[in-house]
Amino acid sequence: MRRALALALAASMIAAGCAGDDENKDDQANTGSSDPGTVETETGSSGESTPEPEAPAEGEALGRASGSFVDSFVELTELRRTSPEVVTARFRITVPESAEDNFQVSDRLASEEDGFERGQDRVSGVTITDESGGKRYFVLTDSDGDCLCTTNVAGDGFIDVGKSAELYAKFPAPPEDVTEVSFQVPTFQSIDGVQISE
Amino acid sequence: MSRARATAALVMTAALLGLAGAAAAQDEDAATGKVLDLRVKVLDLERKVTSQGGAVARTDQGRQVRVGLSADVLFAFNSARLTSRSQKALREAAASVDREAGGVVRVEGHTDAKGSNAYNRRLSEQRARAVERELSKLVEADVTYKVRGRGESAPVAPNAKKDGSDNPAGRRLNRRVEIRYGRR
Repeated sequence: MRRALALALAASMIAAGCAGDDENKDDQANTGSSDPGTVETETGSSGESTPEPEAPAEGEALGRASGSFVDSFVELTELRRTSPEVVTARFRITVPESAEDNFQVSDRLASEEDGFERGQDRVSGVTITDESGGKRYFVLTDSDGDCLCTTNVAGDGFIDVGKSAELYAKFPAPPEDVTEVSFQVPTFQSIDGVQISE
Repeated sequence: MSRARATAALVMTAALLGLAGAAAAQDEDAATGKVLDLRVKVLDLERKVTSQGGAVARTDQGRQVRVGLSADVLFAFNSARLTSRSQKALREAAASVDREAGGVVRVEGHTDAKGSNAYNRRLSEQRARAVERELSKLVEADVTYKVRGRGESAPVAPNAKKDGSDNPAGRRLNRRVEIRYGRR
């Protein structure tokens, strides 16, 4: 009897803990993951983000490159060693007001491995390249092949005119002595000479 | 959603307490609580890094290493004879084996999905053997090789696009010889 009660109590504590974790997850959903809650921010007609004091992550980008597919551009906002083994990129794709069409993500930003079937609305095709070391680093995946990167971009897979999408991807970390890499997003120009922050 | 979870947690707690009550009074009917096991899914990460312009693609998963050598660099079309430009890629693979491998080194040939199964299997095996012959000259470590041709059976990328049309980029990645080993 006592044991049964203790079990029940422990189970309820675990259950409560799960609920708490879930709340935290909801809070974090906006930073990417497989949640469709990709942040879309309004931008001015020049394509520059309008200065909004409370808006986070609107700092100066580490680099910017134009797109080849619709009038769009990508900005790398952070490239950081988030652990000894992992480098995390945060970046933003913007379709300015001046663009004639929205950006349909489809499989355009996906890796060759993911292809059309698996690569829908995910950014698994981004890479970082250590040009002097001659090595290219691909997005980390789990053993099921699912990327550690934003999936379900912008929820419905469209970055609309005047909007941008905040994205992330995680890579295997290059050796410690590699401090500068280039950053590639499919359909965009390369962003070169980016310092990896610690 | 988290509210729903919290409610579920409460229901679960109530159910468990109910069960405890039932255990105390053994003669009564068991409570109708439903208790489910938690299912846990934890996957290893795979890290892929290429060098020599994509000729060598190394993937690490835990202690398992897979070094994929592009067949387009190693061989001419439909040939199992190593080209002169294969040397650089093979030397990089051999260096990895010498540095890390212990025991068994598997050499597996793979093709894309063009051509018949039987032809692809034979070609992939001949190519794997050619790589093993060269690799065993370059590698100094005492390892055992296991060679096989897997034809088109284990693609790493789609051979065709969704509409059934050809996917040359995917097929290029599939044409490869893989060297697999566990890190010591």
